[in-house]
Amino acid sequence: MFKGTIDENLNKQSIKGSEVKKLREKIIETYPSIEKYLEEIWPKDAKVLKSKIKVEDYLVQVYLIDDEIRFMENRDKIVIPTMRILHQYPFMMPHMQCDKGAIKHILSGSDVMCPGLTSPGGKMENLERYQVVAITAEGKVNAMGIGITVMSTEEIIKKNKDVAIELIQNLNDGLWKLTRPAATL
Amino acid sequence: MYGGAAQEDEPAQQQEEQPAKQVAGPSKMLAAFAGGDSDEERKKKAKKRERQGKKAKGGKKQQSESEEEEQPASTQATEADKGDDKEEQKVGAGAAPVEKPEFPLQVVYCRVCGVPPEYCMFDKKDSTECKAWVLANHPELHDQIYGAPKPVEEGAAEAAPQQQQKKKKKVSLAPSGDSDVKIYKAKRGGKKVISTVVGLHNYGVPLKDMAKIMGKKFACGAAYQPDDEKYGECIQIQGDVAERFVDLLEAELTKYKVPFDRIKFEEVKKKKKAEAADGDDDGDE
Ligand SMILES: [Zn+2]
Repeated sequence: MFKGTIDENLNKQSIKGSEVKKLREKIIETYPSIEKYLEEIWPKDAKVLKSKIKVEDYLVQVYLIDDEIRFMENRDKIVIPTMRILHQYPFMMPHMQCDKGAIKHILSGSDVMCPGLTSPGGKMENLERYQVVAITAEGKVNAMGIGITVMSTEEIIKKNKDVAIELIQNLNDGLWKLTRPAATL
Repeated sequence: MYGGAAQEDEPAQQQEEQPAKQVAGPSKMLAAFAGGDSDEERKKKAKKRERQGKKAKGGKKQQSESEEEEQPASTQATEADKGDDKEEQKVGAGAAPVEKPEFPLQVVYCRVCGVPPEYCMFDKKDSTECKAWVLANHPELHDQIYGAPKPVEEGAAEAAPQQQQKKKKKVSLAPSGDSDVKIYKAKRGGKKVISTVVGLHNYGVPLKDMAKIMGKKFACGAAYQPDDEKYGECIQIQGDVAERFVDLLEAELTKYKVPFDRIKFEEVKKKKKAEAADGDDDGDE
């Protein structure tokens, strides 16, 4: 989704306390297992700003917590963590594993196609559609992307063609580069 | 393709496995970076860990493992950090049995291209630089991703056992260890010779760039071979470069601190050294 380079001079806006509260609740609702770590990722007293990043044909809302982009909200108002957060708390969402052949496509920003998941190198959890998932790869430890399923697992197996997971973020995309930790520069 | 029953097992299993596999990452990384962090950062981390320690009360087995693993990291840390660690242990011992946080995981990112090193090779065609960085900074990851450097040479040795017996190469291999740089000379066709340079990667030499330099220097074809079936990772040079290799050493390889006495020249087949040396220096060009 974030294929191009993102200008680091974001136009940031402040955000209301009630909105913060809602967002935190939404995060817990979407990712229940993160609840006990939420205070780490999004402390109650954190400085929160929001900004918009243009992707393809619309603007994605991103939330800066203590000056770090940690969450975003897509056009369907689904709250999604950044890849950086996912790497720190990989258990927070289900994992869908692609075979090796899919890696280079995902890393160049393509959506996940059914065969990449149903082939012997793939591995799926039993999910409904519109679920935020970590996209992992055969033989790899860390996720290479975050996406939203557009088919249920059952459908993916049955249809075995077309897009199965819409890609939100992938390694080395614009947002990944924008959120590079200072320690690794 | 996926049976219903198998699928239902999957999520639970993955959830359990995933963190366990990754636990080794952060603690080792902490150990590696213990010297590099500023005091402030370390305190922040320690505080973070402490907070989590107080908060999280699951008492999972994994966590006790991760605690044990983190011990070496903390011994390397400063006095301040040690103090904090002790405090944590007290908290852990008092509140719940061994309560050391394992999250947030500290995933190692390649300094060269920014992704976890396991994905370096997908980012671009040449991951030589990444490889050198990983070897220098996270040798355990290097071995996991690229394979241990040693087997490359041993694999090469085993791949050509007959020749070796003839030449008694193993005798020279044994005492020298695995950080040798070897230049194998092999006959190809009639008078042509291929020199294969193995082992430079042990010194963090970017092989692809080095192949280019060699090609220019020796005025012959030189190619980086990431995965030669006999020698593993190596540079292949069309021509006999044994003698002139020494010049290259002085000019280029001193940068990488390749010790001269670690460089071994070996012929893969007998005879031909004399005739190859005069005619074929300039290779195919
Ligand atoms: Zn890299």
